[in-house]
Amino acid sequence: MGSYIVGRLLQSIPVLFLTSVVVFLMIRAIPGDPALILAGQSATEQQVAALHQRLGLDEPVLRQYINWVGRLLHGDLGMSYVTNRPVSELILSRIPATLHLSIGAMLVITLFGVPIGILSAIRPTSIFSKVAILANSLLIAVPSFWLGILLILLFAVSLQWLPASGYVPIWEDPVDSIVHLILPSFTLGAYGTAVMIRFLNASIRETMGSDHIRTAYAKGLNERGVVERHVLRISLLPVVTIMAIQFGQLLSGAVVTEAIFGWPGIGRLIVDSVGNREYQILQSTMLIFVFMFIVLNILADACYALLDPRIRLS
Amino acid sequence: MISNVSTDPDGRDWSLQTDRDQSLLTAQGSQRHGMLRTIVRRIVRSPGGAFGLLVLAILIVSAILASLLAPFDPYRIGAGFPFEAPTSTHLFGTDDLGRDVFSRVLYGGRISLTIAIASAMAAFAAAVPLGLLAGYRGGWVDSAISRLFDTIFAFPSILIGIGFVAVFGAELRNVVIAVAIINIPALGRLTRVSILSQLNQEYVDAARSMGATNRRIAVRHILPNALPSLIVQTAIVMSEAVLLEAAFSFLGLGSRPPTPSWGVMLNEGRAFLAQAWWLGLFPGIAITVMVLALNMLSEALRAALSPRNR
Repeated sequence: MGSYIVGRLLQSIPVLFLTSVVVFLMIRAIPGDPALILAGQSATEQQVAALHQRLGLDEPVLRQYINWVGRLLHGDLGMSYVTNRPVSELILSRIPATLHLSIGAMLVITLFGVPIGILSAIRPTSIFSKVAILANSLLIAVPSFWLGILLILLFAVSLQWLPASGYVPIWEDPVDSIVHLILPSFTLGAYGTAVMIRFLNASIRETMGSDHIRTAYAKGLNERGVVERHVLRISLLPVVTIMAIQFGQLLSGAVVTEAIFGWPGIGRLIVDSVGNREYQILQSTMLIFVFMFIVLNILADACYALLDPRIRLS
Repeated sequence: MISNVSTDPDGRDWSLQTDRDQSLLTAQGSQRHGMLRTIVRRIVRSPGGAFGLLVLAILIVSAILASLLAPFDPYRIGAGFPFEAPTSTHLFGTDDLGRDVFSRVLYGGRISLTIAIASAMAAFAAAVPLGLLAGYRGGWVDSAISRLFDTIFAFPSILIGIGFVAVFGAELRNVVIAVAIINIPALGRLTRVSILSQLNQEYVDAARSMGATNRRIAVRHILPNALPSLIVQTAIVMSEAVLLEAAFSFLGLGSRPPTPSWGVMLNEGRAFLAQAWWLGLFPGIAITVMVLALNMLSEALRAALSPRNR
């Protein structure tokens, strides 16, 4: 098991390396002096010169890259010139909001996606199943930003049950926090829920048709017993993978969801940094996202291998 | 893995088999023609495929004929009063500047379709040669190209777009390129896998025994067989392109106001949801219908091409 994870980690090294090169070269792709670009439009000549010196821009590009990676590994992500604060501090301050949102969306996916997926697969000819499948293909086609607008129209503007925007940390006011979290969580989690239903449905139906299930029926188990003891045990395995992949997707989905609901998370930070041309923030958030994406995928594979011996032994 | 394709691995004598292989090759050709007709028939006969085709046809025609069908100039401020609710004159109402939302939605279809087609073509043009090369050459070429795909794949798609737009500017052209880049891994991997699965087929051996070069085998014989699954993927790329263009424009990173892009319209309408619900409704319906049609079409295509149906 340990060697399996180590192997997967080693495999991801080239990807991480290439990613860092791409992100490093991002600034160099913009015409002009990188120091001038990184220091921002309002920087004085001295500031630009100081940054030029600090980044070692007169040195060979390879040397610059090594220095840059070195600073990253020491947690030095650069300075934001708009707020005049370290980028690492800015990103850290945005993590709680995005975490609230991601956890909310994961809950939506688990509480709705898993049971609906299972039920629709066990009784494929029922009306419930047909409605679920139809609603599902619709849900996959609905862009999340429009879903957010629709939810606001219905629950905030028309029914006035829930607030249309705003973020309250859970440790300040748990009830108000959850009330504010409902619409964004459904907006962000809808697509993942649809994917989960589709996946579980296919996975369970495939298992139901296999030989050992027929044997289970043949030895006299009732449907409930077969489903609980044989079908779910196999079919729920891939849920772990889907969850991890979805969590990675949620991070990027947060960019859009946070824009709709005025949510002060990392997604908003990214979009705002494009407008403000804060390239150091963009570089750092990109690297962090990709890193998390890769780690999540490895974790998913590891869980999968832990649960299914066929994978780690092959 | 497949590094040595040009030499015959088991050293068999091919000269005796050419007659049979010749007939195999020609059979392949005529089969393909008949298969295409069968596939089209299957798509039209499946409810999802027929619906997808019909809706897509309507959307394409209305986008092309937008200038004839639109009752107003989509840019004309004061075509009606601001915030007029949907009526027979303004089917989808008017926005804060009194522009006709129906006309703007019609013109928005042009932008979405153009982006979808342009980025699908660009992704195809970049990914297929890369996938061919990786699958056919094998060895370090394969590793290098596959790692490139992995890297693109490691980025959440919206981040690639944001990074690209941040560096090269928030223009529609850059959104097209970004959407193309995002979709290169999926198309490229698919091409590569198809090549690998076809390499051991008899008709490839036959073509090789008749003296065809590697390149000719890859382009003339293998690629056409990989084409169906690539076409399915291209339909998916197009639906993703529609979604991404709308998302970027919504975030203010793609089309800019006053362009009647569906994403721009939703973003502008967002501020007025309390007084004008129609601004948040119709552009979204347009996006969803187009994506749904493309998804259903690709689903029907996949079903029609699946070996289980043959």
